[in-house]
Amino acid sequence: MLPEQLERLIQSAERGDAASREELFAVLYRELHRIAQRELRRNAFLTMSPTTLLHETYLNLSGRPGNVFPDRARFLAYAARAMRGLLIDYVRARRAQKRGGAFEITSLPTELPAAAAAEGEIEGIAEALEALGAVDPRLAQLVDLKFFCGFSFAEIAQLQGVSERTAQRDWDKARILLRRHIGGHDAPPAEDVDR
Amino acid sequence: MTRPNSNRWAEVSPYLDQALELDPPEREPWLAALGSARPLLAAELRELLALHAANRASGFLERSPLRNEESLAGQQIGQYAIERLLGRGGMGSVWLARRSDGKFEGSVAIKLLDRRGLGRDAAEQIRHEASLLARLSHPHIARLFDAGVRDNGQPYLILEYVAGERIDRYCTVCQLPLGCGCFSGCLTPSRRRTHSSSCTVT
Repeated sequence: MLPEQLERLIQSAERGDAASREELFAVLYRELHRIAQRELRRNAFLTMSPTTLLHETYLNLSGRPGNVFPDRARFLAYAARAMRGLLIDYVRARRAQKRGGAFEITSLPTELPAAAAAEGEIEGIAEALEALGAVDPRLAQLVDLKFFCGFSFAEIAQLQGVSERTAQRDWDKARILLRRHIGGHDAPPAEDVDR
Repeated sequence: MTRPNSNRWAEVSPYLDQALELDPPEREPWLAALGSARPLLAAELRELLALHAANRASGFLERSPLRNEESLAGQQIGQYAIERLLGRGGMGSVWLARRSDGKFEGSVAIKLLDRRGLGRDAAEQIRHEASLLARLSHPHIARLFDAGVRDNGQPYLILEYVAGERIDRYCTVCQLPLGCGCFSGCLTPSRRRTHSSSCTVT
């Protein structure tokens, strides 16, 4: 994608155009994936953390003419979700491989998403996060930054322009909503409110 | 979580903030007071706080889905307990560790090698590597104590721990060439002479 096209895409995404936002996520996804593959060929991906991958991707994009993202925080606001998508797809692909899928994905860094969280759990989290994004996008972004990108509360607080304490409390709130969704106990109907 | 519920959440969220800011023993009186005017809201908050307690108890999402090498701290490799990450490089990562059976005092450096590129015979290769290294004895080469393969197939070397500067910082300070790819020779004055005559700086 040409820098001018990307710049236009970012601008319309920033204005709140939903289609442009989706397109921008897709562009960033491809970019993250491309750089992950490049590192994989260099045999270095295993030692590359998601934060490093995001950093490399940002440098790569901002090094192009036009300097398309206003700053790193704006970049991460989009890229964190793309990172989530990338990692979840890796987990899914690996599960497919384990089940003896007929196709073989040889170039995946299959070591990357580890067994820390059960793989099935990740799938549930992926779905719950989509739902959380519709209810409270900022909380969903926090989960992307913390859980999928490995940022600390101090970094997240700075990125989201909140205090560290708020970031920690938001993390608690996000996990509460995710667990409620996974447990199938979503919020009571909206009309069920005492007045 | 459908659309209408985001309105509901916008209403509940500030109350949940308040509840989470309270010390747990203060929450019930606060909820009771709130419940006299807003029983449904108080009931929902109780439910959310119960989920919060369950999250904390189970450590929900506390561990990243990524192969998080920080998590190696506290783990055991052979007779050694890993303390912290010393550094990371193209070949793998190096960890500071301590013998945990009390037989040997002092620290060691454990070098964990990436499996990629080593192929299936990682164990064979690491044994070969270790047997070569074990024959090297020089004051400027860290001594090899042991080598092996972890349960997950990842090979490791257990080396003498030598405290010092990071190599890139050291090279900057001493104005040594970083790009020569032959750091070990750069580090001691005695070898720097031989090194500079044979090494092409890239």
